[in-house]
Amino acid sequence: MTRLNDWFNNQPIQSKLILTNTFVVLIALIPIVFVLFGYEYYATQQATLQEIRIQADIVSDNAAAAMAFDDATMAREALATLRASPDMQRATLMAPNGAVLASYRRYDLPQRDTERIEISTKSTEVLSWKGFKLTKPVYLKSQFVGMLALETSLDSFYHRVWLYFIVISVTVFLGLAISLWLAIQLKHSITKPLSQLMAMVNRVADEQDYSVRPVAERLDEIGDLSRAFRDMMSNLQERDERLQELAFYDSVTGLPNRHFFKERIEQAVANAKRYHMRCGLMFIDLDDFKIVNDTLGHHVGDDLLREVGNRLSAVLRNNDLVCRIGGDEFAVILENVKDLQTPAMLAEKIIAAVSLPALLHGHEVVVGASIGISMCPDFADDTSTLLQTADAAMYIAKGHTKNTYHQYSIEL
Amino acid sequence: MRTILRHWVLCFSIVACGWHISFANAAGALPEYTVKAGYLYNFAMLTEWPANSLGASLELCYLGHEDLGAALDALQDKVVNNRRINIRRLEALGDAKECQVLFVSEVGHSDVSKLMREIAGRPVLTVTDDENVARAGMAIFLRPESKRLVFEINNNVAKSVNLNISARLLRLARGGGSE
Repeated sequence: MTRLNDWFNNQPIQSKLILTNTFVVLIALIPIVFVLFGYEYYATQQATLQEIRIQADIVSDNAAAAMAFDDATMAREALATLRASPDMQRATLMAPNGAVLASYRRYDLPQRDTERIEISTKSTEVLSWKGFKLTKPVYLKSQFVGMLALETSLDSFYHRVWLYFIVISVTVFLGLAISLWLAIQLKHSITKPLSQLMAMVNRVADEQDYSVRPVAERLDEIGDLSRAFRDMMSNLQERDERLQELAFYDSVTGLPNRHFFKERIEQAVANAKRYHMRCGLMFIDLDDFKIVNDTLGHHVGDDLLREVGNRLSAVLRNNDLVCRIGGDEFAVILENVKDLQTPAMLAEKIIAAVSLPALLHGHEVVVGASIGISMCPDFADDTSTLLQTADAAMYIAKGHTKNTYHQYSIEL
Repeated sequence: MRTILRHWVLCFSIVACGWHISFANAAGALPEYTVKAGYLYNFAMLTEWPANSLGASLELCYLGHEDLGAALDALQDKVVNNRRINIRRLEALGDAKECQVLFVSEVGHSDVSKLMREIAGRPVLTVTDDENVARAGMAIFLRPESKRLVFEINNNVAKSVNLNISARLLRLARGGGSE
């Protein structure tokens, strides 16, 4: 049973639908078949017995006069009419004293001693699986002239019942076939939207494309599922965007973080090479930030970083990108730089902006900035060289007094 | 001697066939006559008389051996087709016209023709076991045949006096019956 259950659970919905449908039709047909068959069995049996009784009446009517005159020949003749019914096996006419006057047996049956039957004015009927036995008194007018005993097989009855059984079986088979056909027709309308939904889910899984949305026009469960899926996709997309933000942006300043920076510097270098343009990289290190952080606390330090971020963004051009790449380290990617003076000018502006005092939590805070600058392709052909040279330039700047910048040069 | 032998033969046949008569054997009646009495009863049952000839009872008359009378007495007051049987020994031939069934057994030839004149045109079912009497124009003739008592019916006689003998009875009659 469990195995059957497992097997069923593993079937595709289309098969499940067809199986369920067929099973339901079968279950519904069972009582119908039983009732119809039972009724037919009963009705046919009654009709058969009634036929036999009528036959017995005719025979006893025909034989009555012969029996009254003890005319065995004529009595036998009366019985001989039973030959017309193949079911009739044996028949006996008995005088009132129980002596056999005439008897009949079907040609294919062996001779045997006649069963003793009770001579009485009452009819008896014995119905068994094998056949039907009937005894009845025979009257000529109102005079009792003997008994008639009949023994019939129920072959034609069983034959009729068997035929009916075949008819019913064929009907059931047809019913099942029709239900199967209908189920196959219907499965498309049910499973097609499911398949579409499935394809969409697969697309999301394969391409990580959270922007797809299923159409949910239907009002049934599949429509509900589509709507739920659509909502889920919206949530996923939102979450994806937030994750992206968390992954690429610095939560303190809201500026792009080191990951973002790395991606963009690669891009910038690639673009510069491809379009034969110049790009620049500035590393900005805040002087004395550690002191602020240690003496005034992290919240002041964080505010200071935000303030610096704002000032940097205000000073820089629109398509320059400021990133926070470390604790007190910022980087600026300069794209499409016309000449080597522009970065220097920017560096001066930055130093001027950063070194202005800031009022944070009631404290006047003053920090400085050391800036290292390198350019591609002037001093570096690839990203790592660009990074190294800018870094080296910054260390040189830091080695000088505070608030200085140093532009990398070959002689360095 | 012949009669006795015939009795024996009949006795044998009765035992062999398991002969039955639903009414009790009259005391002292010979089996041959008991069988004949049974036949008479059946004849009466399977014959229709014209409606105007019917009285309250069915008059069953006989002419012949007293043994027959003893067997027939068993039929007295039995009911056939809703009428009670009344057994009459025919004392005078002139009474014959009042009978519905008349059984003639062992009677002189002159008496037969006189009897026939008496009942001419009357709806009397005439039965005999004497071949000569039968030739005189009796409706039914009883005779032994291979250990059995069989009967011949002259249906023309019956029809001529408006007696309607049932087809079931006619079917049992032997070939002598004209139909």
